[in-house]
Amino acid sequence: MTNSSLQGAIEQQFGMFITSCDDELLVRYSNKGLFNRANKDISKGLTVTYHFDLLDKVKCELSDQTVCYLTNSLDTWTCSCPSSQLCKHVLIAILYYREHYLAEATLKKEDGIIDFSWLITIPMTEFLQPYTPAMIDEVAFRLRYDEQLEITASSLLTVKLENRGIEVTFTPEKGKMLTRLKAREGELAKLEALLRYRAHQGIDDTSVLAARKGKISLPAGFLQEGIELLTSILCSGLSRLPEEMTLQFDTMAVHARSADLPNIERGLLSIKTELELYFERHIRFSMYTLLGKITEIYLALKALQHQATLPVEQQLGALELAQLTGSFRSKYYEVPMLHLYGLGAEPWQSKSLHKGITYYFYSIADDRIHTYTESRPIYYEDTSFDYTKHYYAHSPWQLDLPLKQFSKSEVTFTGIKVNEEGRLSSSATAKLNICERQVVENMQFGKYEHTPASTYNRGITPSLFTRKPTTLLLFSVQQICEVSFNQKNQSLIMNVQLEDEQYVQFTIPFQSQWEKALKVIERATFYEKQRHFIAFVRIEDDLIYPISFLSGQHVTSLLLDL
Amino acid sequence: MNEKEALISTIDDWCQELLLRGIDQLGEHDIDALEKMKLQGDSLHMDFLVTLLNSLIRQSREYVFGVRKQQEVAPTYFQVAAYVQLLHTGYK
Repeated sequence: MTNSSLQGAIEQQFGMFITSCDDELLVRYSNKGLFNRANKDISKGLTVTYHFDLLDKVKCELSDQTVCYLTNSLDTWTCSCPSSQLCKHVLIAILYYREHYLAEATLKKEDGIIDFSWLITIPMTEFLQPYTPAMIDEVAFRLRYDEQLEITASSLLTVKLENRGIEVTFTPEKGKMLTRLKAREGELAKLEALLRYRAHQGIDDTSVLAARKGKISLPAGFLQEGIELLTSILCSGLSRLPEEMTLQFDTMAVHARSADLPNIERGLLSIKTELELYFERHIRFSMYTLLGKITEIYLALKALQHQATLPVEQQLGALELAQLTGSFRSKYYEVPMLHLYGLGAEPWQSKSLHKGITYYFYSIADDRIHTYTESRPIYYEDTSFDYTKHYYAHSPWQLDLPLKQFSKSEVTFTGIKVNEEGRLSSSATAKLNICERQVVENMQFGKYEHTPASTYNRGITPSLFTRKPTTLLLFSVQQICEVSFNQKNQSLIMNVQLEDEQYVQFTIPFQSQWEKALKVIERATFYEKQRHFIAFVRIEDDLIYPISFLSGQHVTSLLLDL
Repeated sequence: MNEKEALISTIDDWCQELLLRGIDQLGEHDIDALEKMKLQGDSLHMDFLVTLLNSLIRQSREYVFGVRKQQEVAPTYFQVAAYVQLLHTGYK
């Protein structure tokens, strides 16, 4: 190629690049002010001369002595001025060329359709490459909250997340995304906008997101040790098991945590708790639960171990793998705004010997129940959990608001942190604002409202590695027909007639500390007065446990308030 | 409770009991019990369960006759236990 024809080719390429730089793109890359100043300088008589004699760039000499070099991308340029950002001079070089040399080429552009299909055709896995699992987790979490999208496509495609006022712009050039936000926030915003756009276009990326751990490295030694530990229990049998062996579970659990296998960690710990109950001859020990746990963890370890021996195409899919490995509950992410309607509180004591109170809230915007839990382990003799003390203690967010009051309020939070399961973090940085509480009869509780067709735990597909969900539900109750104490299973049984004429049975298991509350409920003078109200309940193993009764602006948490 | 459920809970009970006793103590009477469960499974056309029980019976026998280590019976035992648990939740 002769020198002049080479120059011609460079000039033509440069022309095409300038054509692609329309005003909107330039503004996105710099800002409106800089863009206006560049235009102003040109109208004041600034001129530019171009030299096409370099191989990989074009030298642009401005009449004010500045020199800049442009390539065919807005990301790579150099300028003699000290700015590290895209500067006025580069803008001038582009705008001047467009105005003076490009009259006919601009017309050509009009009939080319601008193509943003890369946004949906590139597989999501490729987009996720530069992101860390923690970032992907955080974005996946944000996607659970609804967001208004405003999508505008011209020469650029802009996705605006209206609730938070975040804008991300995509160029027709593959993989190019722009946003005002800087650093980590900016990267998160880009990924979020991209995912929301793809979802809007009907692409389901959930399995890809769950695969964030795509390349988990499974510590072969750990898996084998775990399998051997469980096998040794089975071989020698519980009856001849030395008590010290529970210590091994602690060590294994620590290993599981460092191997990032949360489900295995939790499983190992609950096997340990169950074994301790066995050694104590504790009434709550259940062989059925223990066998279930050991089997589950054994098979999970086996399945993970088996992965390594399989060719890639036969390995478990991302979703199944995530089911085996699980994710830690402790990750809390900030939610910009949360509007919560208090549903009452429930005291509990768990198998792993923790005591606590869980406060329930309905989040209106995303139709989910959020919880706030205060709990303490009680396996040491000197620690105890006083329900009343905690119930009347002040909330972490506002000193003059007792938790009791909090559980009966309607509030908004700004900047509260929430985890995957909708648990609120107690970090006091969140701002709490109490609103006028709406009457419960006017509230819509979405998927938590009982309908005659609702089936609860029934119909769920049995599966080994996923936890049985607890169902929370709101019933519209007409009246409580009868309350009686069942001696056999030591529970208070309430026969309840619903507004739709169905009958259901509520159960409250007896515990001596709730004797007072149970006595109140048992009294006809109490339950006969309760008519036409909403009952908030928890359903577990086909039994319905009432948590609170709501009517008007009032909430009565049965065990704590009575 | 229908026959299938009854069989499932018999196997489940046996699994729980073995966890208490330990595979080390596996004996002839366990093989007899497993054979009975297998026959019942056969008559109820629970083919997969029968396949699992068959290999458990074979391996248990090999252990009892001293040609297999007790650790090698564990994987099949856990498969049976897991399958029975799945059926259990399915019926609930």
